Amino acid sequence: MKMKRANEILREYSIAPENILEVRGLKVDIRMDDHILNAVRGVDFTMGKGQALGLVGESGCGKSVTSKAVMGINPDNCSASGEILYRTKSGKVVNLLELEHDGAAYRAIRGAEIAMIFQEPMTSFSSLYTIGNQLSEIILLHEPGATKASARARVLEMLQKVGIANPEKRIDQYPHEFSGGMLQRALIAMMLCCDPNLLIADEPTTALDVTIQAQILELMKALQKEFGMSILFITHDLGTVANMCDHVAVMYLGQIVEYGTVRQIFHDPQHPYTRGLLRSLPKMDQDRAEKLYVIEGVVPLPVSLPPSCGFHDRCPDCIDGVCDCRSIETYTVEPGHLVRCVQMEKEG
Amino acid sequence: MAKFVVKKICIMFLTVLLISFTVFFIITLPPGDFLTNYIGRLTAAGESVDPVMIANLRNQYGLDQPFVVQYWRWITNILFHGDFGYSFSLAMPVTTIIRAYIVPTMALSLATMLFTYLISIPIGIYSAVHQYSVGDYAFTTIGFLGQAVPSFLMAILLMFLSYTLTGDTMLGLFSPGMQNAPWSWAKAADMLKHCIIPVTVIGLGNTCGLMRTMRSQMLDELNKNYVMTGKAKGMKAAAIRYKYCVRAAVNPIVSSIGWSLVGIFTGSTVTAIVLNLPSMGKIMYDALIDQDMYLAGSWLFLMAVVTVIGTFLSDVLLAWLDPRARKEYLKG
Amino acid sequence: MENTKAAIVRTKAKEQKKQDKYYYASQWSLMLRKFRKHKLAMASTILLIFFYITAIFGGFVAPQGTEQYDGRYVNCGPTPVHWFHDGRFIGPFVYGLKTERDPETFMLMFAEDTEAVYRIRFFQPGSAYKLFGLIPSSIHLFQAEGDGAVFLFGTDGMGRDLFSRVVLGAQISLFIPVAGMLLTLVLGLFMGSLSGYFGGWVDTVIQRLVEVVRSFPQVPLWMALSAAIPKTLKPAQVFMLMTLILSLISWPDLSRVVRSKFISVKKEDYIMAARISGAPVNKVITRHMIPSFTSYIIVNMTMSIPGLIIGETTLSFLGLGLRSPATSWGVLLQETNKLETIMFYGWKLIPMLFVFLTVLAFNFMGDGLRDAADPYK
Repeated sequence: MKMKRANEILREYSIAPENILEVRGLKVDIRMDDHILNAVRGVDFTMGKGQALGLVGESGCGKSVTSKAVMGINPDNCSASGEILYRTKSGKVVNLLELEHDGAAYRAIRGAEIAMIFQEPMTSFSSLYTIGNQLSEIILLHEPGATKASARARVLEMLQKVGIANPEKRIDQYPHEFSGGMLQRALIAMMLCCDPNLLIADEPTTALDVTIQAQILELMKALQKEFGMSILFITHDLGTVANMCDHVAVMYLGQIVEYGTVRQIFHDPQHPYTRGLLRSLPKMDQDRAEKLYVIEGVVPLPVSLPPSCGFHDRCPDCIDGVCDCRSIETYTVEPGHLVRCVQMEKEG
Repeated sequence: MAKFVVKKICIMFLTVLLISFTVFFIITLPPGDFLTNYIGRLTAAGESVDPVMIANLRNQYGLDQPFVVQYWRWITNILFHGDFGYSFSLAMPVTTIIRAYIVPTMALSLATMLFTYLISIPIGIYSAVHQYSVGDYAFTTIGFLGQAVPSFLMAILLMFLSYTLTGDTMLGLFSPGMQNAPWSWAKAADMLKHCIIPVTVIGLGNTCGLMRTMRSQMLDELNKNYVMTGKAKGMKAAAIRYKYCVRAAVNPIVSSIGWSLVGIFTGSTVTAIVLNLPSMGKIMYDALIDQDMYLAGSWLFLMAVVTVIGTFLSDVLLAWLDPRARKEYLKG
Repeated sequence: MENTKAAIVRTKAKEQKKQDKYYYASQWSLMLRKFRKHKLAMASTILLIFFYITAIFGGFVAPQGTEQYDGRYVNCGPTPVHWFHDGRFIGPFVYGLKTERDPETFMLMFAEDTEAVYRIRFFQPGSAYKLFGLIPSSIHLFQAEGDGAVFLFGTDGMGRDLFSRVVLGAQISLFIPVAGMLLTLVLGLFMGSLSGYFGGWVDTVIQRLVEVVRSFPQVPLWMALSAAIPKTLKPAQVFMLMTLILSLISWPDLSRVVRSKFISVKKEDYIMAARISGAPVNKVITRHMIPSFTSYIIVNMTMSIPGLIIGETTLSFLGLGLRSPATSWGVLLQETNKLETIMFYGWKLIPMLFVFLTVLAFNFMGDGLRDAADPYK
């Protein structure tokens, strides 16, 4: 979709030395049959080396689209603008949005430097080839010297690492002979084969049983420690975020409404939406007669939205004439804690 | 796998027996039989009929016996002696007729099948990959049109077209002078030339259908999650398409080879009648009109059997291609 | 400021209403809405409605009945309808026809006799017919006055008006497939739900039967069955038998669909929920199971009609269906079997255009229905 001539000189970019990814003003529009969805409406965030960032929000808030924009795997009816700056293993900073999706440069980054695991492990594999075949493919793609035998050896090692028992037998089995949890382990093994800098995990545990979820999360934490990669963790489950991440970005209607450390977000939430989300979690000491808190209303469709706070019609603290009539800037309430809400203006 | 094949063969045998019974039932449906018709025609023409000869024939073929006995004689003769009965109208054993026509018929069917798959699969893939492009619209239109023209009309139109363009209607499988000539390159070329119209006519409907199936299968596969995984691995989009999507999309088409034989036989019967081809279609038609029951029945039976075998082969092929289908088969 | 705010509130309320309407709309109105967007399918539907209405009022629309012929006008080409005579507008009329022999081929040719003017009269009495096969009438939509002859599509080898025969043939060619489809529906639903619901040996037997029927090439089997139709039967009886034959051969496909839907729906959670909450079996089937695939079956049935139309046309073309003077599009096409017919009397291919258009229209309509029924589109 985005064609760049080969001889065009790419602009020089730079990002903070401790970061490996900086997303600036990312917008993604999706062309539908008769309208355009503004799925992502200006998103900024940074990711430090070896850190885990949680991207939280309801279905349809644009968190998946954001992650797929980083990966360059959004379908052709999506168009992205802004900057996604990534520091490659060689130390060069590239704007991923300038690379052709199916071009050699982007493909060399995908899988080898930025890897991604998906929500539904059962459908993320082709049913026609063995697990071994599909896993070693990524090694053969990215390592010029790799042979089938060396790739197989590495796959066996990785399967062992992700806790798949009896890998010698498992490697020659087909996906339908695996359980969902096992497939997610295999998918993680696949994506870690080339030792990526950044792993994007798009709701990796949503489709799994609760007990399996915990196992997979533990596994990911352990592997993060071992491989030292950064993780962009996309989820709607706040519990997972508290467990896994260093930083949290709360998304609503294609914008980040609050950004901060796990501590800041969980102990001192500022945005009414974040507060609502936290209040709607069940608590251990909650009275059984008490009803769970619900945020009223539904997420509107992001189609030709007027300048306003996206949350105003569901917000308990909405100021008529302000929140629904102008676009809202982001305020820094304390270092590293950003909130997109007019209430902050009054205070600060 | 062997167990699966043996089980399939047993089921197949049962199906074939059921088919033979159905066929026999259908061909004995019309009131009267060939001999009564025959006598009727002869007496109408003012000729006398030798009642003794008729009685002999009746007796010989058991036409005076009850239905079940007739069926039993017919099927046991086929099974144990390879004898399909006697054609009254052509006055020779059905086996002889079938032997004479089976080769051109099968050759034509296979050529059509090859034509069908070679054309429909690549076009289906192209259409899916370039969805909503000019080419896709063009092929989709052709697909719709091709399915909307009955094959007999297509045959007439192509015959007409060939006549206006080359002055030759391309009837039959050989030019008049070539019919009895010894085999040579010229004769082979002549036959190939004469095959163009029949193969197009017979294959067209099927090709258009398969094209559309392949397109929608391929579109389904292109939207599957594993395509995303492939991209995340850093695979080239085209590589994902050919390694994963095409193979997955082709499977249902492979498994329908048996049924597409049905379509080809259907098409070839009608086309043979219109284009006067030396395949069984015309013979079958005449036999039906004349109530030449053994000839018509045997032919219907043979076509159904070939279909059953085709279906069996495509089942085996699918089990070989698709690990999941393999598992299903091995289980049940 | 107040005004704009009120306006915003109002437009918002409107939008909300629109959204609510969308979210709470029934499955059928959603389907209808999506179907309306499919332009080709809509156009096809309108065309089909037009064809069917014309066929229903066939006796009225056609100037000639099925039994009528005129030996004077054998193989006459379409007669042009004129509006101006001697530069004067006098309404639609045809000229008289005179025959000439082609000096080279000695074939009979028809030419217009520009002296004789026959106006076309509307809603005038002509040959008698029965509307809907019940109400006797003799009023025709149009016909030429006096001795004139208007043959919009020309005539056939017996001097019968092709336009009339196309219209009257539509009564057979358009309704046999629909009747066949309905019978197929009954058979297919019955057999499919039997085998899907009971499973076990009932299922095995029905599946073997399905396999047997599906192993036969359709047209040869049709041919064999049609050959069994006695030649002495009345057209109405032949019609019934042909319908029966067509549906006897096409039910297996539908029954397979119904069976697999039954089996897969049986496992769905909402069926389980309905059962657990104590809904009686018949209610589970009629309220929850069948509606879940009704749209699918409607699509399937629409898509099966083209095959039946082609089947009927082919059989009649081969002389195995209806016979003259009863007529259907296939019967009309019998004459085109010879190459000379196409070369000299091209208009005899006109019935083909109608077969073609009808099949195409049903295909497009089915396509539109399928897209509309797909909740994920």
